Amino acid sequence: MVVSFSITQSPLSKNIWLYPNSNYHSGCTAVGEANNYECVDEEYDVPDNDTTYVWANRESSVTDMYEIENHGSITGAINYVKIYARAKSHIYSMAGTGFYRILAYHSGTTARSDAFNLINDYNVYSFLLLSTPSSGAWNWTAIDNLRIGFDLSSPTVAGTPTNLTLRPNSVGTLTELADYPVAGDNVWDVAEVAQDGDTTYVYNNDGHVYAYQTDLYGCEDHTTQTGTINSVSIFNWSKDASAYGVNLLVCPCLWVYGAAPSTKNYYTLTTTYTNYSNTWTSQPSGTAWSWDAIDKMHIGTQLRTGSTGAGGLPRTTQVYAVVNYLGPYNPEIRTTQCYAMVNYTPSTSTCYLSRPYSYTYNNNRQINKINTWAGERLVYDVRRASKTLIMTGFEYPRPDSVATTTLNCVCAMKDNGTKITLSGIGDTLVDTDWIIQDFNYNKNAENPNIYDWTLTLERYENV
Amino acid sequence: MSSCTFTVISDSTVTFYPKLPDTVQYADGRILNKLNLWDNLYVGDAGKSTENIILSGFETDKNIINYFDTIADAGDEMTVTGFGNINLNATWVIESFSYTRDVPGGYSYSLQLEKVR
Repeated sequence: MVVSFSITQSPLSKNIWLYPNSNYHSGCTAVGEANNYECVDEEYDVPDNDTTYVWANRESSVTDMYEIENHGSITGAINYVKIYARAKSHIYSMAGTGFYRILAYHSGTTARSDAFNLINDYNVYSFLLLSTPSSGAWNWTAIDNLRIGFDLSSPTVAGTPTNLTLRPNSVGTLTELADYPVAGDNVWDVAEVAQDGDTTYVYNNDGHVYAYQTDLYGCEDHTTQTGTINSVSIFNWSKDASAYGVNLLVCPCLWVYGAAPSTKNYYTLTTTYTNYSNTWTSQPSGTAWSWDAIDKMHIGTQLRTGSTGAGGLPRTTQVYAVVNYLGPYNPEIRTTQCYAMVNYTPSTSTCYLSRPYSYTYNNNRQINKINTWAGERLVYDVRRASKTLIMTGFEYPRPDSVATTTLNCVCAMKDNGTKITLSGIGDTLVDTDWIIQDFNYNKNAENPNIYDWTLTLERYENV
Repeated sequence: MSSCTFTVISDSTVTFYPKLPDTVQYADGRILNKLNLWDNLYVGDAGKSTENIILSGFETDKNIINYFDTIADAGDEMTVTGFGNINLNATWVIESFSYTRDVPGGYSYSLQLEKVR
């Protein structure tokens, strides 16, 4: 009969991380990868933020769910599951009424975390589940069938400065300029989307020096835009068509129903078309801009002849308005990582080694030795320095075990790092708790079936 | 191997009687200060560095082994009598205690003691 002793270890709890490997429900849009789950499957400590992510920005609830990897061959008692998502609200923080919830689905039941309100930088949010979504105890089958994900709502926030371009679309309240090429349709000569230079334009044909002429055109209305209007800018692409004029001017101008036409800065023209603009942060009357005022606004150009008084020289080829407003905005809710962490306590394991043929127990103390000025000598014990056990033995094939299996069992305990308990040596100083400091084995040179081993232990004391 | 014993009395007033050890190593060292000053060498005694003994023996009674370990763990002083040498019959503190089990019937042990008084 082989006489053996046992080494028993109850490891501390461990974590495994399980990542999405398939889509279960896809409500978000993938960026950076073809499939949603591929955008959120980075390992927990290497997030790629805006490189790959999924997003949605609807107010109505959007859900993304994933299947996750199986647990493999791990055994032990599951303590809890924690689901993590790394997410942000892009550019603007989420509206107060918005939410972001982490979901866990198992066997027909969905558990939801508290609602998180996301800020505009990536943060990790988590959802702790001490039991399954249906309140059962965790087991590894439940882990394999678990689906994880999130749902979100991103209502509008008053937010981003946005430009709305409006162009002339009707004859306005004032038409003084001449136009080219077809007389009388001034508005269409300046309404093009891309300025067309001398192809179509309006011009001042007054033969007097320093003579002003103005055109004001009806303008497109806004459509669905809402929000606070910051400013209205009128743009004129204009030029001096002469080679000898002096002080020809242009002034982008506007008119709002109920007020006088409003001019502002005058610009001296050059001989090439240049974009000139004037900006009004409020209506000419001084009241704040409203969308109703925008719809009643006429926009135009005022041109002044120069010192020669020759007509046809100052020209404007394009007129348009830009309304700058804080547009309503549904922030993109981006998720770049989603994974589950399973905390479990591995099963207690026991290894059976053949009894050592020798072991040495060492109990070393730290001793202070002091020679005082008075000529006295003090010697006293301070504390434990080390308490080690070195065992040497050999392992060989037995009817019930393979030598390398037994040795690898001890190696695994060494890697676990937690305390072990010896029993079967028959020495009360040895049959107790230890930490493995070192474990070595060599194949015996004379008999390859035998492995010589050395086990070095430090006494485990938690006092 | 001698069948005589020596006596150990610990702080905890545990008294036991180990077999006399096979060997005793006694060491008594001094600290010397050596100072070179302007081509002159000054040498002075600065006190005791160590006074220790290392007892090596073979004990068949595991209780004796356990007593030594208990005293070491407690950091107790222990008074030794029964040696025919006054340098050994003194009060000591354990600096190191080890034993090896490699042959049936007993334990080889080594006990290093530092002299207290």
